[in-house]
Amino acid sequence: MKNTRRLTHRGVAVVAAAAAALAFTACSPAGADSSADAAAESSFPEKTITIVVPYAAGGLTDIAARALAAGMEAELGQTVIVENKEGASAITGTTEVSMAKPDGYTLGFAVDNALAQSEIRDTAYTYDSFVPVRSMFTQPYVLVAGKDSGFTSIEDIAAAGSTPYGVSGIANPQHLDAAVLLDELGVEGSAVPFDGSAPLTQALIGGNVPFAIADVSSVKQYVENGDLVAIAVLSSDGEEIEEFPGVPNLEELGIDTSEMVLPVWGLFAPAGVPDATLETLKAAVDAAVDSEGFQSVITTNGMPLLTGEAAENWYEDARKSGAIVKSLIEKFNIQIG
Amino acid sequence: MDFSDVLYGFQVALQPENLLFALIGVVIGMVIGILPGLGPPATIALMLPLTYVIPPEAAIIMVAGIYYGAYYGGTITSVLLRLPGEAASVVTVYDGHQMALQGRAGPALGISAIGSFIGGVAATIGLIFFAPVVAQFAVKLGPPEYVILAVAGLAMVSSLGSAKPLKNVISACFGLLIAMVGIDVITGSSRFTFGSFDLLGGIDFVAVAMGLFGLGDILYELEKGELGARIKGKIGRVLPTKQDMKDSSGAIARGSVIGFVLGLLPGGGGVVSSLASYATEKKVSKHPETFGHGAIAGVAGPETANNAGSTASFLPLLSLGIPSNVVLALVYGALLIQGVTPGPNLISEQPAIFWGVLASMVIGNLMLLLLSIPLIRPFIALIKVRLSILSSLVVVVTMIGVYSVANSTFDMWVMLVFGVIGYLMRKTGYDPGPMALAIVLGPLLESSFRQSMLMSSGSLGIFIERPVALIGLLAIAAVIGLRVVLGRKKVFQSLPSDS
Amino acid sequence: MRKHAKAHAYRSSSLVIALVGMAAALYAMSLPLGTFAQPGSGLWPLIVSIVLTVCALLLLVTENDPSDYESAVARTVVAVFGFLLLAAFIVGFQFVGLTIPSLVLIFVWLRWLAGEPWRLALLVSIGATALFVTVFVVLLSVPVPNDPIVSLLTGRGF
Repeated sequence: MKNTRRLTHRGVAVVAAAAAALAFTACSPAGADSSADAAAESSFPEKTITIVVPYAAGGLTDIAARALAAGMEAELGQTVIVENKEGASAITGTTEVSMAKPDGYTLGFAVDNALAQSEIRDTAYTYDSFVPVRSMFTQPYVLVAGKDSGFTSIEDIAAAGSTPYGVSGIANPQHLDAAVLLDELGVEGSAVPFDGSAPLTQALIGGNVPFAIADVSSVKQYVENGDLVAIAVLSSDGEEIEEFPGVPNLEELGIDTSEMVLPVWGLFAPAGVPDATLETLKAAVDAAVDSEGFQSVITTNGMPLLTGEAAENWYEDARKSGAIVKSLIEKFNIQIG
Repeated sequence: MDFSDVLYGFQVALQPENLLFALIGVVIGMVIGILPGLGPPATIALMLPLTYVIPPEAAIIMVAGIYYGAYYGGTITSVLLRLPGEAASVVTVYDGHQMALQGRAGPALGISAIGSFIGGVAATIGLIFFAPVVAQFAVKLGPPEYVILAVAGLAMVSSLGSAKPLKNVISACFGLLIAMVGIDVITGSSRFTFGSFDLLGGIDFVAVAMGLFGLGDILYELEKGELGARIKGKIGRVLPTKQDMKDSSGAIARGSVIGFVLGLLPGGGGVVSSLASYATEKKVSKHPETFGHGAIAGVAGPETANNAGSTASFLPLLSLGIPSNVVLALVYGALLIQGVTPGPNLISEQPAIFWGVLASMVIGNLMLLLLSIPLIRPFIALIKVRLSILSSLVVVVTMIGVYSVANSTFDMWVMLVFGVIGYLMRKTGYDPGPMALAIVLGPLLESSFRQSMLMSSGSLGIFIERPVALIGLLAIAAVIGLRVVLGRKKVFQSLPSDS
Repeated sequence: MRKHAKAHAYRSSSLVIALVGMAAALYAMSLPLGTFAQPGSGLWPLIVSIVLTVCALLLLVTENDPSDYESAVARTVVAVFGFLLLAAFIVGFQFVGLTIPSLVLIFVWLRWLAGEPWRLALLVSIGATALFVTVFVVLLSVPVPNDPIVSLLTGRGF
């Protein structure tokens, strides 16, 4: 009997001490949080960082992300892995990033079109669901035609009254740009959709569609060996591009490209990541971008890094692109359900 | 091309490092193929970081090993457990499992390995000799040809199993409808999703197949009360008999050709090859009534065809640089990481890769064959386990497997729902095969049809104007016509004896 | 009268399928159908649902032998129980990961669905679960939701 009471006293003492400790931490939540946060931030990263790529493995975004991850790993001394979560025009993976804990351990790497989906479909995220970490690269487009298609110049296309053309996805930037172009030339076009750039390239080579606006990396070698003809290029600075010397830029041909969109890739995180963590991430990412592995991936595949103002304001520019995409879809009455 | 190139290829392939990677790939592939859910795409994606550090030839060799190792693993579960690892293995379920139930699992697995080897080698030889020519031809094939292909495939599903043909059509139609759930590729709008985010991604084939064939089957057997071992008594021979080899030789030869031709068509590959081979064998067999009840030609043919097909499907990638399915896209990515851009110039710029890979396919297939023979006995031991115990393990493994495809518990629910459907189908005399196959063929058919219409601005004439499509159309018409005419003949012949 | 109805009970499945087909066709018509030149998303579903409905109706009328069909028997309860058990597994999986649901499922399955002795059920469930966790979670790194046992084992704590 006596023993139990002593124990009970001890028990009470322990509980009281625990309660006091709890009360102490609870009393000053801001203080407690910030000290906990500061502790977390200063030791970030402590575990594996995941970069979510909302596309299938093996694609351009994926291999760039993997090169970046390798570089970041070297900088941070922590494992950085790439997780592929493809589906639904990148909405699946992007949604996952938006719903992840904003602690810096989950990042997203995608082309800005993934974010633009929030403007045109009912997605769980908006541009405000994320905070940009760093801009990555862009890629110019090229207007190509099959060698037997009969189209070798912009005039040929303008002369056609109506024509089918290929797209690698409905309402993606290439599709919208082609729609704008044909509209300006006064040609009635009907888009034949393919499931990605590989099937589209094949259809172009095989003569199943006459022309398309495509990414440089998918078609470069076929232009070089003559299977495809490069008619014009579209790039952010209105100039020719080095992969296709002598091929005019659409702007040089007098086409109004103000409504045309080009893809921009970037790294982003769910909104709410503490500033200190962001700084650490940015430093690591900058170093990784400069790394040999990453540089070689983007150079081989013709994906120039964004620089200067474009790099600084990429997220705002992405927002504007999103609005343009939305208006173009409405203008051309493209059915996307 | 001259033989020195081919020899060079073998030189590359036989280097110890590359041999090792071929072995690793094949073993991993087999294990993956046996485990439901984890298919070649997921596995190869997991292995991508590894490809950073190994030379490009080794990378492709390993990936190729995984690819057809996985096909064989899928065959193992089809034969032993009536669980098709992937769409191409569905056809094997019919006669392969029946053979297992008759105590002939060994010959079934054995002939699959042998047929796969021969098919793979034949296709590789085909690639070596015909690659450039065929590549130029294959690239011209487009949506109209795929329509014909898919239609032919769907028409052939009715020759599967023993359910009433009308019920097979219904089963196939359901499969087509299920395939429509999700985002419509052409317009990007959502169909049959009823607002659910999970359904937006469509319904996964693996979840459906595991549910229809695995769960449905297991619960049906449990209800029947048949809890004992699926086969009682001795296992019987482990290797195919001389008679088996004789019976299968024609099937293997035909399967090689069918598989090679169809494998060149992007997206066609495994499923349609195996279907076409099965239908052909049933047609040319002297005992068509044995099909569905353990005819070895019904296993030998499709298995040969789908391996020949998967080998042939490397062609567009190797000679043109265009990957024709998900797995090859991963291979493409792996090469890009290495700084190698597959394309028309691969053969001249990187001969080691091109010829080395082709030669390694021969070696890899051989390894598969040699590895599988001693493993047959232990595998068969699996089905001697009581169904009551085996079933409990199979359900858990398939559940995790299905989950692992996309780390989604939604897929587990899908599998459960299809388990109920599979059970009901068995209770009402429907065959799940056509449904499963239609899920794979449906999207191809629909998107190709709509693409064709867009290409031709609505004119159905496109199917007649293009030579290949026209040939295909005439062939289908001929087959159907023959069936009708022969069927009438039989009816007339039997009339007098009926009255 | 009842005998007559019972004799034709097997037709109910064809009827149900026909009704499903009609429902699908109605849904398809609510989607944009487009034209042949510009097929909308509803065109193909409509075609397939119509074929389905027609076949089901044909079957309803022409199928005259019920030998394909099996009715519910006493043991059907076993099948239902099996499904419920699996549903419970999935729910459990979402909350506590793989280990516990697997243990429970296999044990209950073996003991009550398959009538095996409880010692065997226990042994197999523990052994199999250990195997599955090792292969899938440890070796293949399948990201299973918050599994307390796995966390304990891998030192991540509760």
